[in-house]
Amino acid sequence: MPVGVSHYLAVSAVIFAVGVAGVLLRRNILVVLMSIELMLNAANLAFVTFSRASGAVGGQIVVLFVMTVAAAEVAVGLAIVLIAFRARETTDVDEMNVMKW
Amino acid sequence: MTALLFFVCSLVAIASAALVVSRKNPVHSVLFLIVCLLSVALLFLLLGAQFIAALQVIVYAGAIVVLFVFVLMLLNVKKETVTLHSSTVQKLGAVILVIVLLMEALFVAVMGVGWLSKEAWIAASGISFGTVQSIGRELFTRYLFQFEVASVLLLVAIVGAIAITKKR
Repeated sequence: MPVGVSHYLAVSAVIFAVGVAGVLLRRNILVVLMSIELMLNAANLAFVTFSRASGAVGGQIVVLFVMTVAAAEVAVGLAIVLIAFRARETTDVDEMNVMKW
Repeated sequence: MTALLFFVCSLVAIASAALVVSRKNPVHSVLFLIVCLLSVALLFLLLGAQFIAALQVIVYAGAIVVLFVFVLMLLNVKKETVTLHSSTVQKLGAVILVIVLLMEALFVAVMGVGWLSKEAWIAASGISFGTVQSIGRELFTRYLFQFEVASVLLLVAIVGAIAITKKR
């Protein structure tokens, strides 16, 4: 059975959906951030698949930039988690419902 | 052989992704996140993207996951008693939204490309654009400006993270 474009895209779609489920369902902000990483990773998989299918290197370069954005997002996101924890002693997103305290 | 590798890697990736969002203990989630990222790196290798696979291991499974573990240890969070949102409407809505999204994405992936299309899929040995050389050449010629912008973005993120966490 030959593995083609749609197989990789289907895997990417499932991982993305799992990530969305994590963001929507979980209350722990650290797990929410991990779910966002899962979604970015699924998008990367789709980019590399299309790059392979079209024979162009551009898709892989976009993956490089997505990784840069993911690293920046995690650094700033975890800094925000740190100060929120310092002020509120919680990582629960339901408890973080004010912009200023 | 390639098909077998693909199925094993994708099964491990999907299973560990599901475990990331379903484990109660965030430390377990991080460990399963590493498994998921490494199996996606193997999928990148199967697609002939060697440089991206190496980057995935170094940047994601190395730096980003270490950052997560570091913050987890720093916060010393007790094990959650309630992991999901309390509102039933919210939970039900989230599940319905996820199922609809999954159906849409699978429909596009299957119908848009053709499930068993045998056309124009060059063998991994036949492509040469996954190497460091070819990516580097493109990156420093056609995508030079975007590359510089990405470095500025990283600088901004570093300064921002330090400025946010600084004790006043």
